[in-house]
Amino acid sequence: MNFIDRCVSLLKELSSSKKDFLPVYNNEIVSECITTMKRLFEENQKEALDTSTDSASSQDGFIVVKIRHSILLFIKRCLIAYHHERLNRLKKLRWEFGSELPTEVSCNLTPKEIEWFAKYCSNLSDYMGRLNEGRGFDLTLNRTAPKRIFIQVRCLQDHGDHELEDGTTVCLQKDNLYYLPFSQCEKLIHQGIIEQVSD
Amino acid sequence: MFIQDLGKEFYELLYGQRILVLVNYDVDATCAAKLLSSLFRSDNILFTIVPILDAEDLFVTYTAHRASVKYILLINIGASLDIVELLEPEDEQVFFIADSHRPVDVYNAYRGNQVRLLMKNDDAGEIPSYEDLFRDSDDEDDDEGSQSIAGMTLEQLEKRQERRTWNEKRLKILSEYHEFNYYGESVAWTFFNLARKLGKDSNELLWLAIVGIYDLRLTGRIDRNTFKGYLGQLKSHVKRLGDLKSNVNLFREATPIDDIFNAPAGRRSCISVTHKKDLQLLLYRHWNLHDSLKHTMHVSCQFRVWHLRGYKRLLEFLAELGIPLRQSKQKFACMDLELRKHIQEWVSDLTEKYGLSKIIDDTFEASHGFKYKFVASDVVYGVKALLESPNKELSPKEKFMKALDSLSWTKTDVLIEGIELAKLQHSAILKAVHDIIEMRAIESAGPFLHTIIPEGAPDAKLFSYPGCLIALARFALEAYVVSVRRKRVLDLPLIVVTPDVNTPGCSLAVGIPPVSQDPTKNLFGTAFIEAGKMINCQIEVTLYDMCVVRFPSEERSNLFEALIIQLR
Repeated sequence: MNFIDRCVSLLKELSSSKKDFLPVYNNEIVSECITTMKRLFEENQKEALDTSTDSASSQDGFIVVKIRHSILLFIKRCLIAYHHERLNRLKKLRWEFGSELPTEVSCNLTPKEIEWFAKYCSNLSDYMGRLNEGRGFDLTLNRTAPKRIFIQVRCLQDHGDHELEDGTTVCLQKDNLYYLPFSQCEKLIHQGIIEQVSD
Repeated sequence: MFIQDLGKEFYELLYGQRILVLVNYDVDATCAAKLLSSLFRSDNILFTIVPILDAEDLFVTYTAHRASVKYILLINIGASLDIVELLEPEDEQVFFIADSHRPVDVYNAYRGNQVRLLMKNDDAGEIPSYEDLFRDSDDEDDDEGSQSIAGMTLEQLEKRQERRTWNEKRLKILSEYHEFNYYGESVAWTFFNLARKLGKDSNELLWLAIVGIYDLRLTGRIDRNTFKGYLGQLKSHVKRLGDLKSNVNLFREATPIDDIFNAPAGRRSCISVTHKKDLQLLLYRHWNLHDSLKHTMHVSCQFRVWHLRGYKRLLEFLAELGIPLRQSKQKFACMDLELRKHIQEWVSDLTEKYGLSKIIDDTFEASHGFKYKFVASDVVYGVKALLESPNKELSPKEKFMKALDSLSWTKTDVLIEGIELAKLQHSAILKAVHDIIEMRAIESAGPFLHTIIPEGAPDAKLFSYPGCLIALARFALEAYVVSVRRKRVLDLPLIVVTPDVNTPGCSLAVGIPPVSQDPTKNLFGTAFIEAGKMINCQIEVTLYDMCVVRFPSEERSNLFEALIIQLR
């Protein structure tokens, strides 16, 4: 397999994995890329500095340098694309899972990526803390607009007074019909205290 | 305080608030609650709906919720109770009362801001003027003075005399005012009018209002003329809303045609309501013609089907209609199409001969999708049967929730279940009437007739609910009147007493007015209470209807004696 194909396989590997997952950092190919780039660069430099050859061979040498250079640029582009995609995925994971990453992802990260992630987290939380007139606002919650703010529910057991987010209380008794804020109901539905009633 | 503009003085106050809605166990109130819940949902008004069984339940529920609500709406409860005295609410709490029970308690009318009655002034009856009922308290103080008459000045004596006549006049006015119980506007209709004012009226809401009004009609709470008034308005609404484009097609134009075909059949189109003349036979679309004829009160009384001869006449009628007996005994939907198509026409030809003038009348029919089709009166019977279901496993509140569900078009199977129950209920009523007539169980006590459903009768569990009991009493009186053919019984009211299986040791009594008098005015509500006072017995008036009361079973004969004195 020639080297360019290996470079492309690096990207293919990433794009064929699941979009919400981060595969192991492919250190092998990346370091290979870097050594190759170094080699190409050095060869180019040597060629460029070598002024001893005559004009005919320098014409050939110029073409070789150009080809080497475009290979170099290609590898660079692959590497940037690879890292950029990884960071993007990491960013997305931050919004989905919060600052604590699941272990199957976090063990696939490089130390540099971990460092970047920590910085991103602190930046984000810093920003969210400043929102809402300094009181903070969690942007990662409710990212899609809810279809409705309230839902109609029926109470399945006597629960007694339940305090809502706005500080008011509502008395939950068996077989009463309520219309309550959706956000408050999720937990109660999980607990089996109320059930949603469609109309 | 009476509220005229429901939109401004009631609905607009509720934006962003939470309201507690307490609902009575009757079909009209259930429809109203359903109608309101969809209005409230459209405006994101938070609500809590709680069904209320009796006065104690009202108190308990209010106490549990009192800390968390400011606005309380009572549907078909409370107009005839002094709410403030009963519940002792906080000053800033506001009660809205939408109730078709009349007369309205005078205290409710004069409670200022705290009690607001959602009814039109002219619909509330003639409430005695404030001056006739209340006096400034300063006057009354000197009345308590222990000084003897001899020690009073002439002026004081005059004052005292004047106060006495005023008090007598007050009592007289009050007793006249409370003499009869009757019914005002349907609450479902009241709220439908609110929806119309808000521009939110739709076929669904109109259908609920129609069912509410039919409930009043079928339980005899409004008379023919009032009903005609409603009919005219309903017809115009049906026409207006039926023409609206938004009602014709639920789906937006952009919806791909495949989606429409893949949607469940019931959802393909929304509800359409139509008005037509149709047979007034009990649940006949869900039953068979033979049974339906037999159980319809006016047909059954006309033929006197409880006698063999009467029953034969009914069969004769079927024969003359040209419907084979076998066809008439199978499900109506399975009858020959030819017969079904022409039955109304054939029946109308024979109405005069058999004296069945009431058999064809106005009907509203709603259909949803291709499958579900219901007429208003069947829905009323179905929902009522669910509310008063004898199923012991369900709590009253669960029954109410089921009834509320049955009014949703997505849960028509619940309604079908209710209709099946209604058939049971009506079979039991006919059987009980048959027994009462055959056993000559209706006796005259002088000013009224009475009959007693024996303890342990198999169907007593069905009759322990006010709605069913009233239906039974009406049927029994009608049947009795046609079977004895004495003129005197036309002017006699009937009292039916039945054991209350839900409260051991107690009985339920219902009093219904005589056939010859206005069926919508009932004097038994007050009569029972007065008689109870006379014999010093705890009489509990049900919230369903003032004329149905609960009392300890052993007091029955005492109660009857007191009633005889009362009504003489």
